[in-house]
Amino acid sequence: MDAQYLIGVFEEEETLIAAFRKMKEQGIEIEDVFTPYPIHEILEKHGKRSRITIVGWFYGFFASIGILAFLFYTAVINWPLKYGGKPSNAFPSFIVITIVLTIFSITVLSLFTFSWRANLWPSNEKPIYHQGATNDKFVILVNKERADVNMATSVMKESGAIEVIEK
Amino acid sequence: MEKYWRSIEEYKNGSSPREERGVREEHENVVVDLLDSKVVEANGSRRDFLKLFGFSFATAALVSSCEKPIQKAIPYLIKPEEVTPGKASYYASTFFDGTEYCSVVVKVRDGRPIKIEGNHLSPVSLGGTSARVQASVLNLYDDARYKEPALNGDKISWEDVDSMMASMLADGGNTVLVTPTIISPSTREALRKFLLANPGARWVQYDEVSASGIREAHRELFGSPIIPGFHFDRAEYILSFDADFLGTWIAPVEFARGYAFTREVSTAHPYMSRHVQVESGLSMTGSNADERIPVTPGESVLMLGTIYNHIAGATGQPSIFTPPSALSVDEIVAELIAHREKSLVLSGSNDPDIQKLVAGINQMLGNYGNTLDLERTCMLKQGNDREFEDLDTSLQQGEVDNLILINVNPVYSLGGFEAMKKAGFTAYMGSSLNETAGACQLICPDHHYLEAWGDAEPVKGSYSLQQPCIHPLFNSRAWQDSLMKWAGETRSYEDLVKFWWENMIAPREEKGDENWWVKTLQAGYHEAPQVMPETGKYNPPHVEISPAESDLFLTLYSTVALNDGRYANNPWLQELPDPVTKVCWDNYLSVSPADASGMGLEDEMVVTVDGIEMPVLVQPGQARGTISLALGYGRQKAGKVGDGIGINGFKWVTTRNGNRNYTNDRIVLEITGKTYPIARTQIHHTMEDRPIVRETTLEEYSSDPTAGNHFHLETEEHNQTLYPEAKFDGFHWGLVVDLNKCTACNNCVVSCIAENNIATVGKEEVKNRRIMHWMRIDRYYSEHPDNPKVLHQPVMCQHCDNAPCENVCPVSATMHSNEGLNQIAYIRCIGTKYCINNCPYRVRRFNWFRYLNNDKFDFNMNSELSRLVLNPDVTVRERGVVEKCSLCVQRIQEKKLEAKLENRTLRDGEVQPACVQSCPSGALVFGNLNDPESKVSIKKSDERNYHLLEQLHTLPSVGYLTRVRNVKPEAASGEHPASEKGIRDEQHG
Amino acid sequence: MYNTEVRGPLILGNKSLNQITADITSPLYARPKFWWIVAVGISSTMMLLGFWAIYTTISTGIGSWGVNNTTGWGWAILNFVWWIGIGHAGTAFSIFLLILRQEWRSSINRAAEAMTVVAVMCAAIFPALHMGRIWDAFFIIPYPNTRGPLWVNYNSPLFWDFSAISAYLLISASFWFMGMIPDFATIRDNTTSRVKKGVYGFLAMGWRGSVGEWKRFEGLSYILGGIAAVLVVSVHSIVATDFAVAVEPGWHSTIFPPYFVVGAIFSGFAMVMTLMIIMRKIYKLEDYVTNSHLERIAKILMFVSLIMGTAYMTEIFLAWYSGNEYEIFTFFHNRITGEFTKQFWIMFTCNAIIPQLMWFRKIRRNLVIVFIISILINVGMWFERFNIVVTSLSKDFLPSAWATYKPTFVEVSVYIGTLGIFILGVLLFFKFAPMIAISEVKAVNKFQLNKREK
Repeated sequence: MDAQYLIGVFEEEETLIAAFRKMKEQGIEIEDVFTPYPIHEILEKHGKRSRITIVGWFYGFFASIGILAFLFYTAVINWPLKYGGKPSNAFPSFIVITIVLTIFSITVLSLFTFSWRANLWPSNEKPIYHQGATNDKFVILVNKERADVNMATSVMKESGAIEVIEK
Repeated sequence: MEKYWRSIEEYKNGSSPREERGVREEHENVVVDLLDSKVVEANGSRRDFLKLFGFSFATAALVSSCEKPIQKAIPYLIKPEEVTPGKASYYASTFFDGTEYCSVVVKVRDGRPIKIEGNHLSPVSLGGTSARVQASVLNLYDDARYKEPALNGDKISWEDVDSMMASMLADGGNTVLVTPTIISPSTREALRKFLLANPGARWVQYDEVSASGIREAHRELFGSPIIPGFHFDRAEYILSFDADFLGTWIAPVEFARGYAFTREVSTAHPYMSRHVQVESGLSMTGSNADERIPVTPGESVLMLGTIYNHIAGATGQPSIFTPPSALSVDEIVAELIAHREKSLVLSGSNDPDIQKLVAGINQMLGNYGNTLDLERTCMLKQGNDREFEDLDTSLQQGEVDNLILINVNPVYSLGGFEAMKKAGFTAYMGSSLNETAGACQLICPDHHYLEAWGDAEPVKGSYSLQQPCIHPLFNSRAWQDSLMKWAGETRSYEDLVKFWWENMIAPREEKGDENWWVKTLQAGYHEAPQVMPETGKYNPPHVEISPAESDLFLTLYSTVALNDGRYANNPWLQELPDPVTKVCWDNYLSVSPADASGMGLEDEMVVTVDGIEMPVLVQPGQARGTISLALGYGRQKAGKVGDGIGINGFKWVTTRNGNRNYTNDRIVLEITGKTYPIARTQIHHTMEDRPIVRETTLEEYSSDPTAGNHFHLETEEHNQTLYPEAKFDGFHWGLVVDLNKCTACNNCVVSCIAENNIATVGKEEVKNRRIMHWMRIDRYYSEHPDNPKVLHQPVMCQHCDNAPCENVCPVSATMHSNEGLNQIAYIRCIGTKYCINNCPYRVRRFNWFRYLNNDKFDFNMNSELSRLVLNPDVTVRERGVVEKCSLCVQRIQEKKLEAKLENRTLRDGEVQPACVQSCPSGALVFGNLNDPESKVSIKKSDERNYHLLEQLHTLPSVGYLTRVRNVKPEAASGEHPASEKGIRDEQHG
Repeated sequence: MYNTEVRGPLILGNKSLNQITADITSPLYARPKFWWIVAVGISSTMMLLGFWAIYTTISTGIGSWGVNNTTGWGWAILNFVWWIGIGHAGTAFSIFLLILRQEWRSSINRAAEAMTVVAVMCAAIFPALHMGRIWDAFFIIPYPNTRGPLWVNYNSPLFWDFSAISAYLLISASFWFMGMIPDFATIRDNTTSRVKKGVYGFLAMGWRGSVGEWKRFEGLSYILGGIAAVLVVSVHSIVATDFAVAVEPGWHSTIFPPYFVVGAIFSGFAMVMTLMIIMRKIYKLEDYVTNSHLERIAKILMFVSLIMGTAYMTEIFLAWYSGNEYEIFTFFHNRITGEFTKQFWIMFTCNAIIPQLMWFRKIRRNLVIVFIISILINVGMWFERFNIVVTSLSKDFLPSAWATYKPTFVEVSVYIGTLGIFILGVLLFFKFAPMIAISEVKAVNKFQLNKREK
């Protein structure tokens, strides 16, 4: 038969975590885990940690430099004007603007990054393995090619999966 | 202009009418190309005006193409080639509206007169103008003007008019001409011719606001009915009874300059005249006085009489009978005697008895021949009330067949002129609609003074010429021309003017000399070396004073804005706030605070005077027991702007000793429950003890030049700055206002309106505090409300070097120029109004609505014709942008370019903003602050100089000189250089 | 981590995960109630009135308002500041409480954020509308152009304002939306209606709650949380500089930025309080928005009101202490006494005095009173803005230029219109969006259960 995935469905956070730990110990490769709310142990143990925060920091860094440069160029080099006897290089004012616009750019950029990396965008259709995963069920997804099916099934059953579906 | 003839033949036989037409069309086209982009502001109206302008061009063309005599719209001393679109040309001319005289220079732009400037060559008006003169240019484009002659409301051609009048006059019968005062020699000649040709004809001069009392008094005392010439510049002590000589009385412009001359104080010259004003209502003149004594008219007569007797006693002259005055006059008498020959006593009253006393006092003090001139007498106000009374009676008896009224409006200014209906036939000659014209059968449209030839002799022996600056807009004709035609004259009035000047006025050696005529026309004036005195020996007055007994006097006065009401249809003047009350668009009954609290009256309450409702204004400084009402309002047929605004005060004019009298002691005042809103441009009247207008006394000043101005020194020390002081290479424009010379006459305000296309917003919007004037004159009261000290301060954009407004504009629509000007790019403004909020002087104005072409604002900018007055050099602002004083940057640029073309640096005083150019008192000085020699720099370094709100460290380019009051009698006595050297010597020599 | 036993449970009743979902999403499935339709009707009428006023303003000019050449700003700007203030609650709520690890925020922040977004949109209307030439508004954007290029004036607080407000609108909107993604997914997976499936599926953007999604989701919320925290403080500080940078007496003061930020939080939290009391009552969400939640907000309000009082006193004291005659006039002769006395004392009473009643536990726990107080606070805050904007402008340096200010019907209508928009926005949110963060509540709930079991 052509089912590709093994899906373990759990009622409780605890049973899920238990199963998750066991499988990790026995080296059963877990494809993915679906939970209605973030469970930190799993987020930490499964897969690489997200680098989006670092990226965000760089966005901020370069944005602020870029904005300051822009302000300086437009106000001092390209078209200096006299305002109220102040020098055209009004640095204190620049700071205020830089802060705000940096925040602006970070928001925009990291939003796009998020939607790209987590591949989420409007009307994006992705296979949904279990309806309950966003409500009250906890789901472990195992790829049959890369893991011993029977073992995985038994582990999950033992640690309290209410059902193990093949899909 | 080589195109005038196409072939030699054509050239030989001269151009035939057909070809003339060809030529004309061609030139119209030329004009069109040249002007298309130039007169954008005047969009719709371009066509009408091009017709005229095209015609003038064509005629100009004909000058060079054929020999026959030509009627020119452009005087030929300006060569037509020089009429370059986009470049203004200036013509010297003369303003005289029947009451007020002024020698002017008319700025003509693309064939349109758009601005009146003062003529600095004139020995009479000395380059000054008044608010009314400034606004008169708008009357040229008034929709209420008559477009063509009409008989009983139907169109009629001039030919028919002439034939009709010819037959009419041929029938003989009594013809009476009623004119305003005629000061034009050539017009007098024209009239003489008419009277000769029509034996039955009579000529009466009529002044809406009469001064015949003065003439009558002088006839009795000096044997000839004159008004003496006044030399305020020689007066050290001025005692004025109800005479508003700086605002409206006789010749305010002339007087203001002389008066200001004696108010000029500096460390080198710590003297000034002393001015005491005795009056009932607080007039503009009174507000400038060093000391003001509010009294009722009844009381002031007694004071005058008592003063007369004291001085008579002191000089061994016979005294007169008078009940003693309740007020002590000893100090006044003492000062008068201390200032023999250097004092001036005036009275605004039209009662010959009072004028006799005044003349008597001046005579006893030896002022005649010094401050008063019996040779170069004043030619204004020649109207004779008694003569007019006679006319009235003969009208009543139906003895008058033809009544010809010329530029007079008795139906309004007599508060009704029933007798007129009894005349067999009535004709009106005048340029625009009014009540009298409405009651006449025949209407003969007259030119506006900017369209007409003429001349004037305001002061005996000094003449000035009036030349047309635009081809008549409508089918009008100079009334002198009509008279001469009807008198069977073949010459035109223009020829008469020229003839008269070349033969009668020109000095003997120059007679008939063309060049002299040209030169004079350019200068606009001529002064005869000497004149013959007409007066005989003095015989003292025999007057018995019986004061009017009343507990409530109504005094009627003419306002700085509307004068006697002839300008009621002029939106600029209607919106001009009164210098003292700051009210516009209405007249009102001024009541003294004491009486008000007594009667339980408050501002805007409505009372009835003899059954006529009018709003009340509680006026500090109003004498107890008096109420004042402005003349000139309540016009019924003035035009769309002036109709039905205010109450006609002429109803209360009485007759006293045969002359019209402007006080009324038989009135019934009743309080109604109603209220009526009044539009005021200033609602808070004290300075809250803030150092805004700074003043000192002459005594303190002479001991310490910085008196009253110590705050300036303090701030100079304390003001620190984070940034380097602003430096300006080349020019740094600056303006200094001498608060001691400014009389608050509001000339600058209207001048600014005319120059900068400032919108009129109407009463409602003024009430909403949205008046658009770029320049305002703040007025503050201090001390006791019964007799407050009054302070005036012209405030325009201060052009701060650290301008708060510039910092806050997000789109950099307002920023600083390299010449120290605070400028706005209207096109860039998005109207956040932040700059308005952040301007501590509140001189910025926002375009709340579209004021151009908007029926909600049906004033000059909503009429194709009136839009012709717009100045093409200044943008008409769009709705939603902020505007303000630019120190007339367009004028600065113009002069800079001129200087550049002539490859020289600008001369000091060459650039003059509109407000500065025509200031009658010379209170404003403009120039380059970078040049230490310039007038303005010198003024700015004066100890009296300070800046408005300088503690905010905005570093304004505008400075003010402290007001100095001559309160201590001693200070004024002794040496007074003003009397050594007259103002005229200073001007020409 | 803070301890629930001390302050009682965050979520009452031992809810199952499914139960939570059901409770919170119930309004989505229920047919709209009568009161809801009425409310929508009323608020849309108000909104239409507002649109009419906006049309009049733009077509005839700012002249249709009561502002004049002395008082250049009036209702428009004061309402702008007022709305921005209210708009501060949401983000402040989520961010500060997130940073402070206040788990109890999770049942409230969603609604608060929704409120923020609508309020900021209302606020944004005013600065745009009060411009004389709104059609040239784009001049404020510094972009290369054919006019020189002519850039903008970076010294102007209005430009700072412009940048700050747009940034704030963007970030609070995205923060709000992002938070809803998992919940949209929940709805998508639990609804039976095809339409809802389609719509919420579209909005859920394919969320499945996978590890990768949750990781990045948390990462992003940390980023946004971090920068939004800065923004919340800076936005209102910048709004404050609109006044503080000017020379006007009563404006030119360094106390303004902190004073405005606190004021904003004050009015914002008060508005949250108002809404929460209504919401929990109507939608029977007392178990999620518990009395203890409200009491906590009440305590915050009480404390912030103290700060406000201090700020007012400081201002007045400094005006007197500076010896600056203009400041003294503005505060003592134009606010405490004088033409605008009424407005000043309403402000002072509502903001500095009345909230102090909540020192008493009884009052604090009496929802009716708390509800009234929360409304009074926003009245008071409105008058605070009135005091700042109008009194300073109408009577400043030159008495000759003094003028008073009365709003016109058009001006008032614009304000009513924005109220309509706000109410309508909130109503739609109640009806069509998960008004409490489902996933967060689940987490909190679970965490609580664990605590109990121990």
